[in-house]
Amino acid sequence: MDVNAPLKTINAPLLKTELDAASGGAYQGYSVGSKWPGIVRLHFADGTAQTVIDATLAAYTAHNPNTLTADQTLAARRLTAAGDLQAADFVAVLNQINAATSLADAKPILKKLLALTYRLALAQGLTNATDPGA
Amino acid sequence: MTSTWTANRTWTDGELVNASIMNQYIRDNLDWLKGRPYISEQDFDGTFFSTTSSSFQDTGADAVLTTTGGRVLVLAFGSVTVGNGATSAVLTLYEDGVNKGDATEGMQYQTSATNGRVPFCMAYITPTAPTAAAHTWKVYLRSTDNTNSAAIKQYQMWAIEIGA
Repeated sequence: MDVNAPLKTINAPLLKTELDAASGGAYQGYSVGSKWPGIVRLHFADGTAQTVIDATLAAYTAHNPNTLTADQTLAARRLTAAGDLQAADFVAVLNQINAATSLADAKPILKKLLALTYRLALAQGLTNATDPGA
Repeated sequence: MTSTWTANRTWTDGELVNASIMNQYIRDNLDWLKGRPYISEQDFDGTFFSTTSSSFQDTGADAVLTTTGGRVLVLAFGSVTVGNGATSAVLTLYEDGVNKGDATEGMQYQTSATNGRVPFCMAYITPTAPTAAAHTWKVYLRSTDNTNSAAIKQYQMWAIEIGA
């Protein structure tokens, strides 16, 4: 069975998660098409109770496309880390190493190397750990 | 000129062929052959229809034809895409609300790279002649995984009565 709702910008993976939860699994996807301008058709299992449909429509109305899923947030962090690596000044780090003469001098260098290592691992998908903040 | 088809006449020896007979069996039948029932529609702007449902959904592509008792050739072609390379787009034709393809497999499976476009083409001749009446053929589409989209980007479809 289909229920029409006003067309809006969506974050598709997030919307599916939200509508699956709101409908208890009765939601079965959506369709949009030129023959139904301004309308999205939400598909439900036959016999879905009106209360479930109402709850799902409320979740659709409340859906914020700017909110990211956990996977999308991780993907954005990886993208940022890759950008940081591309912008990293490795020569500056080398110069700091060459100029260091004490443990106090070495600590900030080690932190920079740790930060680079963390970003490299994150960008490569080798870790999902929280940024140590080095 | 709109004409109706009349079953071909069997001529007899010595038969007097007059204008009425010629008009009915020759002119009108030739007119029908030239102007046989036909309908078409299309949308080529690249944003026609998309669904994330794994059940067949009405795409809105349809051909409504009033037939006169002959079989019908239906053809739909265009391009499809999927929102994930692991997803397939499954297409089928419905005749008067009934899926004429397999309940799951439809009439055609298509896969592409994510958001890539591949062609589809479904040509279908009704196995038997539908009753002389208005009939509707529609293109239905489904995604294979109930999460990622399958879409028809552009299409044309038509139906034409082809006679016996």
